[in-house]
Amino acid sequence: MDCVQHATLLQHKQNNLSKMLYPRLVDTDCSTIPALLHDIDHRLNELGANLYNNVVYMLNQPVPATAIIDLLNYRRILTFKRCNPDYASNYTVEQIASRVKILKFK
Amino acid sequence: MPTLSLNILVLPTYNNMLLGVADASTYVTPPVNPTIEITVPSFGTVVLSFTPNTYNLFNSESLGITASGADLVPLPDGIYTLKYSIDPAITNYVEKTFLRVDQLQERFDEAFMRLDMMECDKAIKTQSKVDLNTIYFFINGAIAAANNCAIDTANKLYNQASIMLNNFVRNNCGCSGNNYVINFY
Repeated sequence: MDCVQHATLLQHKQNNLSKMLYPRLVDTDCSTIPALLHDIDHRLNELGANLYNNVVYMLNQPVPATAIIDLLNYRRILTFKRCNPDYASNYTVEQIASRVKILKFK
Repeated sequence: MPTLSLNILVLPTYNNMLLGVADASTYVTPPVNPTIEITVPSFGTVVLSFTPNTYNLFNSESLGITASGADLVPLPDGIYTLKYSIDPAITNYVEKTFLRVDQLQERFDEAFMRLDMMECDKAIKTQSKVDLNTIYFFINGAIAAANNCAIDTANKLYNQASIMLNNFVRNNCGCSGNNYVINFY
């Protein structure tokens, strides 16, 4: 009986532990410049494909033009920062990453 | 049988202190006395030796803007004229003109990020982004005009972009709200 109770409690404890830990486990590589450039390219690819379907099939869907322009600007800035870390030094890669992550889902 | 064809390319260095010129020429025989004449806006012309078949980098020291041993400074924006020649230079030369906008581009990018990271009314922010896009079109228009040898138009568009960008930054990007960067970082 004790063993069953112990096993149940252990399972419960593990569940709680995983719930507590899971949101804190983040990929440390996601804010590097190559990862961000990859994210931007991926999103631009999606938006471009949507735009193509919009035109070809006359879907008349709204086009997120602002997001596209912003992503293109951030891609240029990150490309410069990748080669020259002093470029636009008032803004860090982490600050840019937080904007890019939001734009990714816009 | 290859024929002599001189060509140079100005490639991005992603650094406003460097000018990168690549040699894209084809030579019949090894070139004799390869030199490049660079006209820097507001600083006159310098004649420098050029290494063929490779990527040549120039900075403010090599272009005669700063003294030898002094700290390097960003290269000025404006119309640059490059003339690459080999012996006999009277016939064997190629001349290229381009508009350098690196400093303006960096100021633009800082203004863009400042606006984008600012907590601001959505309508005002949208209008400010339209203004910023207009400035970006002016910058690209200036580059295109310079590539088509329309130097006056290029200068006019560059100056317009510069004035608009100064006004934009001076007016706090058209937004009087909280600055996210100042308040939360």
